[in-house]
Amino acid sequence: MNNVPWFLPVVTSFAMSLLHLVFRRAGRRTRSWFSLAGGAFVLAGCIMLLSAGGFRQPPTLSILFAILISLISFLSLSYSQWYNPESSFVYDSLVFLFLGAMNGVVLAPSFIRMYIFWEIMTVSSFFLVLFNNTAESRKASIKYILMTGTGSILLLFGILGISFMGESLAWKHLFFFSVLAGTGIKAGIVPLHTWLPDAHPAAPTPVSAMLSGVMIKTGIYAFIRFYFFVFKPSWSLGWESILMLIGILTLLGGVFMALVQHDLKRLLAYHSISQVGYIFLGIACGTGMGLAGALYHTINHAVFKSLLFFGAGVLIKATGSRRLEDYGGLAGQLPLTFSMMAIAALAISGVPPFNGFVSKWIIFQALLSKGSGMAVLALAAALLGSVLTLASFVKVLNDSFLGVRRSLIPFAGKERSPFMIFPMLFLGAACFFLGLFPGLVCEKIIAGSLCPGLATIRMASFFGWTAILLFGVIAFLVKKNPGRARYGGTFVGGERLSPDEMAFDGSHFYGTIRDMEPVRSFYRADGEGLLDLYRLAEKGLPAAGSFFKFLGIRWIEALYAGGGRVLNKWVERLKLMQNGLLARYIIWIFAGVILLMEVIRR
Amino acid sequence: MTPNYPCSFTIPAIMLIPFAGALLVRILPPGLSIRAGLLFLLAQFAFFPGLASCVFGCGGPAGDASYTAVFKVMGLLFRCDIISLVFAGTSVLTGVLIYLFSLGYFMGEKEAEKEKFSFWGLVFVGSMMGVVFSDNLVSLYFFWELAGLCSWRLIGFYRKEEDLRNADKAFLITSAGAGMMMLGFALVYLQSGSLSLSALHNTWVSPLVFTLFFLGVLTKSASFPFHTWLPDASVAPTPVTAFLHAAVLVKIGIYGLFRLFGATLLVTSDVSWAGWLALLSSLVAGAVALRQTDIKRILAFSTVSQLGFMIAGITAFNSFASRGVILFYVAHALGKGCLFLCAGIAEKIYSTRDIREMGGLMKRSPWLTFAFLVGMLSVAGIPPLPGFFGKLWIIAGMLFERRIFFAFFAILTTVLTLLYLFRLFSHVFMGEGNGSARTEKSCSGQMIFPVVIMSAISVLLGLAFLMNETVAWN
Repeated sequence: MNNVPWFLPVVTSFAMSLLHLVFRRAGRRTRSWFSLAGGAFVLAGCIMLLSAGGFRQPPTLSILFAILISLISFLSLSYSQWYNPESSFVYDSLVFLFLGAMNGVVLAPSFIRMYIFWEIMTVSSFFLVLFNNTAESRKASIKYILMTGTGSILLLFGILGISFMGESLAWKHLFFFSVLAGTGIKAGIVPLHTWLPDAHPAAPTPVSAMLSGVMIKTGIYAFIRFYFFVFKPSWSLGWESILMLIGILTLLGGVFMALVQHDLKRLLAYHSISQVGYIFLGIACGTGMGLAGALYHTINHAVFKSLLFFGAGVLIKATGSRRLEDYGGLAGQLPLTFSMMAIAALAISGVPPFNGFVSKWIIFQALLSKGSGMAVLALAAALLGSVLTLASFVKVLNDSFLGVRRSLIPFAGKERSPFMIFPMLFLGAACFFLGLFPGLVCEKIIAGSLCPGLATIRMASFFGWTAILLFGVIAFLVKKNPGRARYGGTFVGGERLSPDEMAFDGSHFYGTIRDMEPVRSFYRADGEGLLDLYRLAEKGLPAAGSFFKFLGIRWIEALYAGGGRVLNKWVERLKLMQNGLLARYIIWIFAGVILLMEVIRR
Repeated sequence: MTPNYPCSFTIPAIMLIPFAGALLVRILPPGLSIRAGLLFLLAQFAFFPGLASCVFGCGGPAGDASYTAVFKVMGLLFRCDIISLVFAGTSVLTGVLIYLFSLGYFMGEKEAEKEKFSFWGLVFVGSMMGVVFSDNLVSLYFFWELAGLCSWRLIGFYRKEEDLRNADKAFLITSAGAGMMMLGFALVYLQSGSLSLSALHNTWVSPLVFTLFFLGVLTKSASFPFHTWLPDASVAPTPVTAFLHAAVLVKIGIYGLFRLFGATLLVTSDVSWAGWLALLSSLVAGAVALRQTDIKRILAFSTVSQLGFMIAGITAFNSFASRGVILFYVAHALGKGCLFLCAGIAEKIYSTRDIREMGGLMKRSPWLTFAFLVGMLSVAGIPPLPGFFGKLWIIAGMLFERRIFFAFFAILTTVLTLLYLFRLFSHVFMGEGNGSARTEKSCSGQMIFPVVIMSAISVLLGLAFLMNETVAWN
């Protein structure tokens, strides 16, 4: 067991991908179990890697991420069997290709191999985003591949620069910029995030969960790899406040945009951006505590964001729509989804005792102990971000589960399949567990993943135990007094209101904030596409193309045409010498012979 | 250097088979011409393993001038080292697949047209063989111009007004460049008294010679500002354009530059302006490709862009970049050949070359989509396809020479490549499609089969590179 090769999970999932292609005629049920078994094998491979180093030893950064990726992907595969029962073999095959490439990115022992897997990941996820093949997904996938492809090429430049010019340090800022942009596009930092809110809604929901839960984490992983293993220890960079600024922008930009969304998956995508902002703040601290917070938040975000996407998938199946306006009053019909989404919403907003609170707390502490002006600003922004996140999710919960039932279509799936109940319950429990026992994970796992030279942190998890006690007491009290609750109609001012009058839509939750002045112009600018680098480039590049077309075609062509005309004129004159009369040719021959003899005589 | 026995047999065989084949194609009944040409190319390709074994059997490390197989006739020396082997082998392989494709492509044409294509295509391949095996600048020049002649006849294939004008343009530009090159050869001869490449090894020459020769290369490899003939040449039928872009013509320029200044002569002063010019060409062509709507013109500008990239790689003059250029050459030949043939099929299906009127090919023909994707991703340099490794080594070589901005602009050109190729892909393959498209039958398996083979070779080659190349990068 001591010599488990690093590529074991990668090869396993590539083999699964191939097998799906080979056995494409197998029945739906067979392929379904086959996918699940494959996901389990990959996860087992990662755990073997972990155990190869000894369970007592802390895992490395790579293995930590690999386990996270495999676990979330396994749950997504399971969920996918419920959500997408008619999926074709191409889909299954692509998912395993994607999974293997993600594992490869985090496990690869050298930067160049990491890059190779990185590109396989990019291309396979491009096809997954494209998979529905609607007009929306086509547009989103092209935007996705162009933005992340550009990012990958920048990343390649950075990798090669480090490999070939690492010793000179003269160009470290350029290389660092390339790496930051390359990994940041994948991670979705502002202003390079704009592919994300388009690609996530366009993809099938289990894939969205994978994209948001773990794929953008590979960007985080790569950035940590470069920053803490290459740039920070040996090359002193003065980028900390810039990173922190990026973190603030990402955090606030994401959450402000999320606030006004009415498309559920788009809203979740913007929240992913904002959570990446928290992670970036942790990384930007550069301290052991900051990194621990960032890593822990990475894990937590993967847990609650995939749970949210799974919940969103149930809503989409139930109503056939992604718009919050089409939901309402679904809590009674979908009790499991309601409770799980509520847990996840509280977790993402950083409400104790859920996991999001703990990791945000660590990040806040890291910012406080950093103490610089930028860090304090970041702290304020982070607190504001948490509040707005909560507001945004209250809107979601209200619109979809509470209030009056709005247009509902017959829902065939229901919450019965174990394929879907298991991952949601598992993730919901994980939200609790990671929040109640942060010490288990933080000390035993994350401390070991920290890079050499950074202090490890100790977590006291006593508040977890008090919370458990508190919950126990409440549960006991509730159990003791069953049936005391009284149910009745809804009255306002002594009069029963009609459901239509009672209903109010979600925009009430953010109307005030939207109309405040600096925020309003922000939304306006976004509406005009000024904040989207892709749309700017879409306008700018053709202009550049036209310029070059003028330079490269019109101008040069004109030159050639002019040259041709001049040449023709000269050739016309030469024609005078060849008028077809024999006598003139004979004169020419004589002249030539005389000249030749003259030359030879000398 | 004494000619060793198997080499004195394989090199002349490889050089003579296409010319002999071309003559036979004229004699045989015209209905067989393309099939006969295909057989001759296959026979020629069958000699390559023998040639490879005798090149590698000569011993010595790579890049050493003694590491060659030689063959001498009438005082002219022909030799083959690894570089020649790779360039020649790629051309013949691509040629075989193009012939296979043209069986389906020329299906409804007159027999005379088929015979014409078969004849001139074989001469084309033969002249490429002559260029890569020549050890003498005179024979190199002869075959160089022979290739120009073939291209003139093939571009003006259907003898229409526009075809003829574009063919004349191509021929005039390339032969003007060749004239410059001839002048450079004369200067080399005046300086060192020899025209044999093996005798000229590691000779120092002046920048003037380099400039003259570089002009020849720019015209032949269709680089800015001499690139205009190549996009115009896309009026020719698809197998011909595939020949021009992937197998033979523009690659001769790359080979010439590589052979003379990458492996033989040394320049006395800094010629980095050449690299900048090539990069400018690459950028301009990439930007122009973004604005084109004709599928073949997009691919043609893409070729201009990739050629600029390769020339810039050669002008880094180091072993990393040279390795990259060879890998990228192979990748580009297979990838771009594949793209052109796919474009030909798309043109047949939609009866137009305007990408705005195409769409939805992905649902219609998954194999064609697969082939196009492999070619596209390889040219754009996405691992693990072969183009990536070429790009990797070229940029590594530039950085190794401490040319940061140079490398950065090279990176920019690859970004542009990604942009216009995905634009093309999204227009042609994604989307709902339109009603005017012909039915499935018209894109017969006979045309798709060679394209799929080509992309499969690309994939296998990429995996082989993956095993071989990443070992060095621990």
